[in-house]
Amino acid sequence: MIGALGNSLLWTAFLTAAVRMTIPILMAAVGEGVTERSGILNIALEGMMLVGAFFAVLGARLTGSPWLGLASGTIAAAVVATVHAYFSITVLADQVVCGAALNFVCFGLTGFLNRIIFANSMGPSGLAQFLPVDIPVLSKLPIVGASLFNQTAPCYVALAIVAGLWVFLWKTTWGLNLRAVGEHPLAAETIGIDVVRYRYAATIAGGALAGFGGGFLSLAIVNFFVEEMTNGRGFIALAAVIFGRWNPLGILAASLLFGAADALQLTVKGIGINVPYQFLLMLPYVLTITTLAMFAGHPAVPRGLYQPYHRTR
Amino acid sequence: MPSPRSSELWRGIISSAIATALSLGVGALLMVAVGVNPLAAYVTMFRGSFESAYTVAEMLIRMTPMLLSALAFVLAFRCGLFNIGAEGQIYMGALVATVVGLYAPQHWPMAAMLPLVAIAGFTGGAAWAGIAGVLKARYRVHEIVTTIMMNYIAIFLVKYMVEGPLQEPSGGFPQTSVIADGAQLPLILPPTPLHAGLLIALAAPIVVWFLLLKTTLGFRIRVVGTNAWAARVAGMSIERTYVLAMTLSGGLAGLAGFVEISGVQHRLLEGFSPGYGFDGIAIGLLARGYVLAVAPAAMLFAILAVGANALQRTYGVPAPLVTLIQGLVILFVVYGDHARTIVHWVWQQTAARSYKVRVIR
Repeated sequence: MIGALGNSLLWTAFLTAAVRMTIPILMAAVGEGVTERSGILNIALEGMMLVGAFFAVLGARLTGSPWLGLASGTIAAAVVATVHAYFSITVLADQVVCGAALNFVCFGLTGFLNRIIFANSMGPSGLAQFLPVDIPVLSKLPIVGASLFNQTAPCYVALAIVAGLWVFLWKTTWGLNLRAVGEHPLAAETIGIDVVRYRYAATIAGGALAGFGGGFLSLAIVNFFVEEMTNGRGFIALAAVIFGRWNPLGILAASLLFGAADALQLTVKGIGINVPYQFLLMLPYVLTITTLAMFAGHPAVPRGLYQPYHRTR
Repeated sequence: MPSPRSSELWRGIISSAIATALSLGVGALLMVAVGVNPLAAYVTMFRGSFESAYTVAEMLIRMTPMLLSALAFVLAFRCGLFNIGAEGQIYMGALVATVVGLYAPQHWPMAAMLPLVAIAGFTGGAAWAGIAGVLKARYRVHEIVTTIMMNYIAIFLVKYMVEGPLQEPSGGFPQTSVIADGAQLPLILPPTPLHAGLLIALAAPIVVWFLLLKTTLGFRIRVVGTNAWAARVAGMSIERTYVLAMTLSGGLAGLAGFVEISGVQHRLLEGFSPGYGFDGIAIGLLARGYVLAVAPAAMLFAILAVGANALQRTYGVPAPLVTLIQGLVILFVVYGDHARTIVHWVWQQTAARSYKVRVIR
């Protein structure tokens, strides 16, 4: 066991997998972070990731380009998010009810289309896929080199998005406005911020990122589509947002933790840790609940979250 | 959620019926798109449930856990809580029920054994949901997140149990041994596999209705759900009500786990629930939180679920179409409320305008 722990090849394999498994959760979570910062709760992340995963495969299959595939997955999920935005912001429906309904719709839609288009419940494989891009010099670093700097291109894009969103939220006027909308929509509206527009934009952008995460899962990790392949990652992403305190960098850390737990159960037998793997699978969820209990009522929670905003007539 | 006055109730029934019709309509359009006659397909679907005593039994067996978990959702919903964790509570109810069914003295008669196992199932679900209730009441952690997280914990815990400590001695499959004969629900319509769990599921809405509308606790639950501030002013403990409502809600879901183990599987195995807990959410929403509307809504969902397979077999229409229809039903119900306010508003505007015109003339 000691020998296995010192095995750098295993560590590299584990870290590579951890980083890779982090990206889908991370994308959905940072997107949701922005959405929730505007005051809208989207529990349909799971469904939107699934839609992203399906349409990414479909797009890649039709165009022969994984990038166009990823783009179609992103756009398709954004369309679903527009429905959520319409119901939450314009119809003023309960956001949880609408999100729950959309999850059903997405599960059904992807399953239906998959069996119609690809004629079986197991989607196509052998697509044009993303290959690892080696970053010179850095990838030669021991252990972390091969795991951090030999990932696929969308992985780097994802990390850039996280950095960009941090800058957006904390260093730009738009970001400040967005946070104001989520904290106190009436006050924001009073000083001339268009609450409805900000909430629409944030919800659609969040859905698009969930679609990107789903597309990453189907094109850059497994290279096929299977029904319900997101397997709860959309719900983990919801936890990552809270765990990461609605801050893109915090969410990055939280997603890494969840991604590592995901990767750990893949490599745990090799490393030789003698814990039932089911407990490792539980770990992210237990961690989320305990941290929530410890830090709930934290000022980071956007105060306008899940509060429908009636524009005064 | 107001108590169902008759006009409100009728409006609810009508809008749910319209929503159901509209979503079946969308389903029909999709069937046309893939070249299937939707009318024939829907006939096949409904016949899938009513063809023979056996298929009726199959539909009712499906309906039983759906109905119980929908009641679980509705009970919490009336207290202003979203219990998204019925699935996990079903697993915990099933786990505890199975443990009792396996380790209680095997020679005990059914009259002693069955209630014990049922209580075990109820307790398993209640305790699991109670944790979320306490976290909500004491630490202000939102129950949506905790119940979703606890779904996964429960599912993995059951997975661990059936692959580890509780696995059948022969060790062939990830499942437990068969529970005691006395712990199994009797069949009520032999030779079909219809079991007595149906009677529990049919009695449950009446019990929950009585609890909510005729008892002090039920009144407290509804007041907290409608206006927590008013409840506080009236001296009710919101926190205690939350915990109680969550516990009872989880208990109902735990009962769903019990009927599934005791009536259908007779042993615990992973993945025994095809998402009954999630169906319960959709059913509860379609029933718009009205306890007595849960039974017909659950039957509709059970018919759709059984029909989905018939649809796939006969016409090659993918079964997930039914999941899509279920999601659309809720969206249409929600939209119906909105449309009603728009219609109401427009009507008021025109009425006001014509009144003004008349006055001026």
